[in-house]
Formats: sequence, C-alpha cells, structure tokens
Amino acid sequence: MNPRAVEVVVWKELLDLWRDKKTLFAAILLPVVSMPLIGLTVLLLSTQQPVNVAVVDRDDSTYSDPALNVTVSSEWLVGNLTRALEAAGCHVHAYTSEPGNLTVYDLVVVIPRGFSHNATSLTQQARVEIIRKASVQPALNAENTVLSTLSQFSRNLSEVKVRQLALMSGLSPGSFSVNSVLQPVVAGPVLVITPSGAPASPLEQIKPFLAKVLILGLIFVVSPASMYVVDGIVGERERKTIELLLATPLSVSEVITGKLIAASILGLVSSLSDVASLMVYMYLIALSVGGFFWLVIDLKLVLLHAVTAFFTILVTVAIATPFVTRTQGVRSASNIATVVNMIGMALFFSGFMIDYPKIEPSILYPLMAIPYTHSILVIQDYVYGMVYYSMLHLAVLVAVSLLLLYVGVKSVSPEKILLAR
Amino acid sequence: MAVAVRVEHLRKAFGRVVAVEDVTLEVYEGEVFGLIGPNGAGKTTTLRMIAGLVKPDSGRVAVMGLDPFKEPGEVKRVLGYLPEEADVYTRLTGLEHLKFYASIYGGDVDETVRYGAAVSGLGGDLYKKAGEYSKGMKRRLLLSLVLMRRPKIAILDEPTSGLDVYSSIKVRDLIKAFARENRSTIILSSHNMLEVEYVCDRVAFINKGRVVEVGSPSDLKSRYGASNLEEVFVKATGG
Ligand SMILES: Nc1ncnc2c1ncn2[C@@H]1O[C@H](COP(=O)(O)OP(=O)(O)OP(=O)(O)O)[C@@H](O)[C@H]1O
Ligand SMILES: [Mg+2]
Repeated sequence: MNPRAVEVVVWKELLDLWRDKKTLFAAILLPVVSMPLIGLTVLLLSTQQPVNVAVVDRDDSTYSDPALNVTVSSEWLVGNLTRALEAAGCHVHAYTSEPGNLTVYDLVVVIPRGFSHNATSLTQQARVEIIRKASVQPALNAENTVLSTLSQFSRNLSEVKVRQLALMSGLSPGSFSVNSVLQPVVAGPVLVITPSGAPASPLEQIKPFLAKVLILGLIFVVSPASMYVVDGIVGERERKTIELLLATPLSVSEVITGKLIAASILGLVSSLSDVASLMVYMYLIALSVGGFFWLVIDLKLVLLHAVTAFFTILVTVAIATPFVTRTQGVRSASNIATVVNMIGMALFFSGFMIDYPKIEPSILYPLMAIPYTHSILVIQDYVYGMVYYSMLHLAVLVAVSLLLLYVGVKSVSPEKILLAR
Repeated sequence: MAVAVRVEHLRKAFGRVVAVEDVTLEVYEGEVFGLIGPNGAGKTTTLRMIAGLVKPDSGRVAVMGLDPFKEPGEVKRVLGYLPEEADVYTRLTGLEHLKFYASIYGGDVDETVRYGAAVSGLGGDLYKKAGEYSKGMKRRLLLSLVLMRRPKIAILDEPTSGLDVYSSIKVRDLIKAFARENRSTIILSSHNMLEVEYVCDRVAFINKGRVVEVGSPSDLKSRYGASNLEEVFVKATGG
C-alpha cells in the first residue's frame, strides 16, 4: 500500500465531505445539540415535576414548659418546613386538620397533637409523622428536605434546653460550650485525594464525571462516521463512481483505506465538537450556579479523547467493511453498520454508568475482547491517574484497529464491490 | 504486428447465468478495436475481465504479455478503462476531477491536468460542479479522466452511450484523434454499427457470450456481400 495514494483518496473524500453540508451538519451539530439537550431535559424533567406536600399541623399550639422555661410553637416548625420545601421547588399546602383526600399529595408531614408539649419536655420526645408515595422519585428529595429541617429544628431546640439546664445547675454562661455537650466527638476535616494519593483539586473531583460524559459522547461520534463509510462504499457504487476509480492504478485496499481514514477524520471532528459542546454546557451550568469554568478544561484529557475517538471509529468502520462491501444497497449496509454501532452504544452507555477499572478481572478480561472496552479504559484509567494502563489500552486499541483495518481491507476485491447483487 | 491484448477461452458465469461462454480475441498494438453485440451479449463482462476488475472462471487474459490478476499494478499502469455506467462526483468541479485523477496517476500532475482539460473540451465549464453537467459533458469529462495520462491501452465501454448525434460525433473524433496522436490501442464496445464502422480498424461480433466474427469492416462487408455492418451482423448471427 502506497501512503501517497491513500493520501490522494483522503484528500478527495474530505473535499467532497466539505461540500456535503448535510453530513457535516449531522456530524458536528448532532453532538453539539444533543449534549446540552440531554442536560436540559434532565433539568426540566426534575423541575417540571413539582412535588405536592401537605403539612398538617394537628397540634396548632404554643407551649412553655414551666420547669425549663422553654417555649415551642408548632407554627414555627410549619414555617421552617414551608420555607425549606418551597425553596426546593415543592408545592406546600398547610392544614390544621387532616385534608380529606390524601392521595393527591406525594408527601404528607403530620405534626401530631401534643407536639409542642413534648418538644419542650425533659422526659418526652416529640414526633413528626411522614407519609411518602413510593412511586414518586422526587418525593424522596422532599422527604430529605423535611428530615434535614427537622434535625436543624431539633438541634436548635436542644441547644436552648442544654443552655437552660446549665444555667439551672449554676454554671456561668462563659464556662461551658453547648457543642461540647451535644457533640463531644465530630469527624473532620475530610480530605479528598486522587487515586494516586495526592490531594484532589475541585477539577479532579468532577473529572471522573466529565470522563464518563465523554465516553457517552462516543455514541454520537461513531454513528455518523459509520454511516459515512456505508455511503462512501455502497453509495459510490450506487452513484456509479467507484468502477472508474477501481480501474485506476489505485488498489482496492488504497481506495477503501482512504475512505476509512476520511471517515475517522470526520469522527474526530465530530468528537471535538462533542467536547466543545460539553464545555459550553458546563460553562452554562457554571454561570447559573456561579461555579468555576476554568476547572473543566484539561487539554490532555481532551487530546486523549480525540485520539481515542479516532481509533474507536477506525475499529468500527473496519469491522463493518467486509459486511458493507458485500451487501447490495445502502439500506442493508446501514443495517449492518447499525448492528455494530449498537454494540458500541451498549458499551459506551455502560461506560457512562460504571467505573470499568473497578470491574472484577473475571468479567473485565473477557470484555477486553471487544475493542470498545479499551476505548473506555483509555479514558477511565487516565482519569483514575493510571496513566501507564491508559497508554497500554490506547496501544491495544491502535493495534487492534490497524489489524482490523488490514483484515477488513484485504477481504474486499473489486469484483465483490462491483457485482454485489 | 505485435499483440497488445490477448484473450483466450474466457468464461464467466454469475450463478446459473453464463455471461461469457467462450471468448478468444487478439487486439494488435495501435489499432482501434470494436466489440459489437446485442444487449446481454457479454461485452461489459469481457471488458471488465480484461481490465482486471472481474476474475474469469477459466481462460486467460494477457495485457502486453502481463496477467492482470497476477500483476495488477503493472497492468493498471498501461491500461485505462472507462466503465459503461460511470458517473461523476456531483459536488466536485470538473477541474477537481482532473486534479484528483492526475494525482492518482502521478508524474507531472499539472501537465496531465492541462492535457485532460484539453481532451475534455469543457473550457470554462471545468470550474462548475460536475453535478450541473449535461450527460454529454459528463461523458466527455469521464473520458478525459481515462485518456489524460495517455494510456498505452484504453478500454472504453460504450463511450457514446446516451449521447446525442453531435456529442457522439465529438467523442468519436476525439477517440480517433487520440489513438492516432498517441499510437495507443483502443478497445471499445458499442451497439451503434455506424459508429463502429467509422472509428474501428477491426471489429468482433459477440453474441450470447461467444465471438461469432472478427475482421475489418470492409473485409466483413465484402465477405458477407453486405452494404453495411448491420447486415453483416444479422447474417453472422443467423437472425
Ligand atoms: N453482476 C451480475 N450478476 C448476475 N448477472 C450478471 C451480472 N452482470 C452481468 N450479468 C449477466 O451477464 C450477461 C452479460 O452481461 P453484460 O453486461 O456483460 O452484457 P453486455 O453485452 O455488456 O450488454 P449491454 O449491451 O446491455 O451492456 C447478462 O445476461 C447479464 O444479465
Ligand atoms: Mg454492457
């Protein structure tokens, strides 16, 4: 195979691709649009599903304990709960007696009769009942809000009680600390470190998440590239441009290799737009939360992702080549490419959910027979700080893609391309 | 006379369809050789086998003494091939086509492009996207892509198919001039007996995958006592 000849084919493919705005559009815009869209959808879904909470104050009283001289009103708790829940986006309805139809509420908080009495007592515990609908996921978040409000309320109350007791026992106000009574032992500080043991910066804490999103992004990169190969081989036959090319001094291998490389370059471009859109997305989030955008950029990770994307696509198109060249039409060739893509999608999606470096060897090693496993490990190992293993998997990915390219290209003869019926 | 292309007992079947039954031919260096026959006679399949694109089931092909399946690189260097159904890249201009193919051929790319542009006769239209070309313009562009590097042997499968009278005449003259100028061997196929009589030094009639007659047009006409090649063909195929 003559590299010059392959280069000529790549040049023509890229020129043709440059004029093919539709394909370019799909390859670049698909990830740009879909990434933030996924984020927005998740955001919208969670806010568009308001949780209905009923706070039932059956106590509805204020009580002062005569011995301790501490006052509690159930209204205070209702006020605290309402503020916290509304801040979390819930719809809160306050009642003093049980509403007739409980089923319209995802969460019901009941403050029983005697609450303020028990809360101020030195012998009783006051209770708050919670009824949560099992099928509503956001209700769980609302419940957590209620629990943390309660614990804050409880904590404040215990401070008041301890202070009163201390004063009653004759201690002067400056001679004791409420905290050392209530919480004599605490944990902290908590140190977050990287897999290699160094203290982790905020960037390193979100890097694993970023890496997973990058792996998910490979899905959007692989499919346009393999569709492009289908079109480049089967489509060129249907458009009657390939026979003239095959009769030139170019060998079939050079023609196919050129097309596969052009497809991988398309994938590379699409993966870069993928990363760029991810960054814009993170930037928008950072803007709205007031976070730090500069932390997101790790050029080495971006570069590694680009190289991985290139060879991941090369693997995909090389696997598809022997099948694609033997089918008759663009449609059946696309079907085959889709099957190969599906395997990729399944793995990349799992790479989004699972930390591959942590999988048991008995499962991970067989998985390594699938080239995409190495694509995932290149990125995840790098993020885990295992640069050596990351490079090892990259080497395997490169070797496997070149081998498959060789096999795929050798399996094709001009006759098979021209005469497939 | 030296033999440029020798074909011996070629046979090719697609499943149960026998496309080429038994074809034996000799084409001499520097001549324009015509392959004539009805639809489905096996012309395209024969030409594809000579060009090394389709492997024969049996028989032998020798191009300048070389086997296109054992030494494809050598054969492709001397041979140019225009497929029967060829089309252009719609998004590339004529000039970009010329540059692409000239780069494939190597050597002096600029000179090859200049010659190709002259052969195509497309002038300023070379700067237009080939998708906007008429059928005749496309065919001339494709023909120039094959002839631009002055191949020793050019195989042209129905070079004038789908062209109107004027375009056909232009292409025919182009082929004739090219052969004379470069002393190249040309093998072309056609349905058009008039065209073949005008352009070819010798012709072979092919029917149902077999060669039924070979000779120069004048020789064949006198042998069959016919006034034109069409009559010869009808008589030779026993129609
Ligand atoms: N790829 C193929 N698969 C199956 N049969 C084929 C294939 N190519 C050609 N044939 C058959 O082989 C026979 C010869 O076809 P071929 O194209 O060589 O004829 P031809 O002389 O070029 O005809 P035409 O003048 O119509 O171009 C036909 O019967 C055709 O149907
Ligand atoms: Mg034909």
